Amino acid sequence: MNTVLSRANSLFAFSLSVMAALTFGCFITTAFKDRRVPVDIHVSKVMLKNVDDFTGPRERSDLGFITFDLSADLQPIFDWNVKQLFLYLSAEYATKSNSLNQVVLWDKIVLRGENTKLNLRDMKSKYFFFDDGNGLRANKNITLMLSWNVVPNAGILPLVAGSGHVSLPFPDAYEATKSY
Amino acid sequence: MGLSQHDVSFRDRKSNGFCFLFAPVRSKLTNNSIFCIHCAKMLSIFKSIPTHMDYKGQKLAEQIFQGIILISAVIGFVYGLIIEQFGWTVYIVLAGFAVSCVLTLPPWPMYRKSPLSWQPVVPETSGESSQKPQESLKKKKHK
Repeated sequence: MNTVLSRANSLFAFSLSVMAALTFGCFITTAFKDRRVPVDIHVSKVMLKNVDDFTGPRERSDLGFITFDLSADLQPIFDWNVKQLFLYLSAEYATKSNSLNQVVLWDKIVLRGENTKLNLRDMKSKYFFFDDGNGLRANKNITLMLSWNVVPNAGILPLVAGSGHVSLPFPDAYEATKSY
Repeated sequence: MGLSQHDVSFRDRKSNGFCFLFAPVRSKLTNNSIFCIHCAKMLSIFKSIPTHMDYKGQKLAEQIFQGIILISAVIGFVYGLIIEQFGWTVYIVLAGFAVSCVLTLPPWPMYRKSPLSWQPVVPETSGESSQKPQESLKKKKHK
């Protein structure tokens, strides 16, 4: 403490320690918060095709097309320890070969300060809904659900499932694969 | 604040200082490389800037910067919690850091109010006899 440099050193070290303590406080004030919000998913159109999956097995695979509406109010999730949300819509279903299949159909990043009221109509899925066989045809229980990663300033990275999912049956017949 | 004084101190510490621009001068006494003449000049300029605080001043400076940073941390935490922006917490702590830098880094006069009262320099009489009592006096007086 007798020279400028030693004073600067202890001042800087003390400030960093205080900052670390504050960051931990920021984490601890939000660590036990419930980040689930109700989500309303509505599927307006389902289409099923049987096409060549060039990335997967040699046989023709089932490819689903889903048009959906999505509405949710994400405002309660945001607080001072949230930088962004990574939302993703996934489909879960069981087939003969696998008891649980999960396919991500669509995702969205909601940054802090952006519009937190989701109200999407007639959305097409971003990613192909391919099954690795013929498990989609006549599957009576395909569940769509919205989940999100909460990206924090400090602390854990929670993965939250939105309350509110929709289950739908897939058609028994394929559409004609003329154009897609 | 002559140059020779510092040269002596460099040699005493047997510093292995070096200069990137000029070849260091080798002293004949210790055979250690010391600072080249330019560096020594620059260092003497830096050393002529007063940075010293007395003991009470050091304690006061530490208390002041700790107080300022802790207070700004509390204010920033509460403010950030209220407006839900952790960024403002960081800014307020940084402001406290800047303020305490200004207040405690330079040796302001308030940190130099109680200087140590050294014994007056004993005039150098003749060689070794005067050295020993001077040293012991200093040790006694040292806090």
